[in-house]
Amino acid sequence: MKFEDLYNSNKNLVYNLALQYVQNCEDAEEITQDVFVSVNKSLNSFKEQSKVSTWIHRITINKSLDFIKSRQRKKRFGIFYSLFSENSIEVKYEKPEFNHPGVQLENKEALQQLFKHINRLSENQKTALILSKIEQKTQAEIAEIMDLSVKAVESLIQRAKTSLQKKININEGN
Amino acid sequence: MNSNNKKLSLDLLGQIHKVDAPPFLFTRIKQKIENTCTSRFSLKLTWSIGLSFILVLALNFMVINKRIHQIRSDNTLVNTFNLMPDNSLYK
Repeated sequence: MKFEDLYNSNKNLVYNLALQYVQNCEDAEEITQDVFVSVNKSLNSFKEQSKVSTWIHRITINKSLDFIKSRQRKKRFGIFYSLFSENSIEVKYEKPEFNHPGVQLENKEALQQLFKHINRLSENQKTALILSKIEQKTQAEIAEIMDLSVKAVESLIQRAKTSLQKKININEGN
Repeated sequence: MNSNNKKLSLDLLGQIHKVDAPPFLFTRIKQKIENTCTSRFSLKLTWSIGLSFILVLALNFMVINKRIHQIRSDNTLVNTFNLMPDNSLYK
């Protein structure tokens, strides 16, 4: 399997999936780079027990979640980062802005709100919801990607929907 | 309120379009791969390993030094009070 071919056939999959997690172009680009560096590193050890796309989905999901965790860590320790970072007294951490190129202008505000709630879901619920509602994957495909049973995926999506609805209602004062 | 609820429905997620990955990404990825091949350890990691190694050496040195002093002071005490350094009474 040639790396360049693998990149060309999966670059949009990786970039778009990363975008759904971070909702920011620059961050999604960074994740895409990390994913393909990782893919290149473990290309020889890939045993084709699962489909290539499933394997790439998994790497992308893990890298995106790691990226979010590291961003949250930076946010938490922002003041310390600024103390030890070069040539700077101001806090280095800046909240990433909502910059999703796949969102139309008329939906931008609503989707920004919706993603704010989605980002508060648990990692598994968020992944199941993104794969099902945005990536339009079937429950069987999601189960394969997340290495869970179809029933577990079904329950994750259901719980994510309920939790999301509750969050929306609380936010709107219902 | 109702219009807001309608705005925040999950169906909105289905209206997100797929976009193309930026064209320059592959060059950047290749560059990153080359960089990771040439420098296997980051500067941060090298520094932290170096500093921990120095710390462990310093601690070892301190412990050994302390022990040597302790042995010396024990010997001085034994000599001053003419004590027998072992338990054999029939020497």
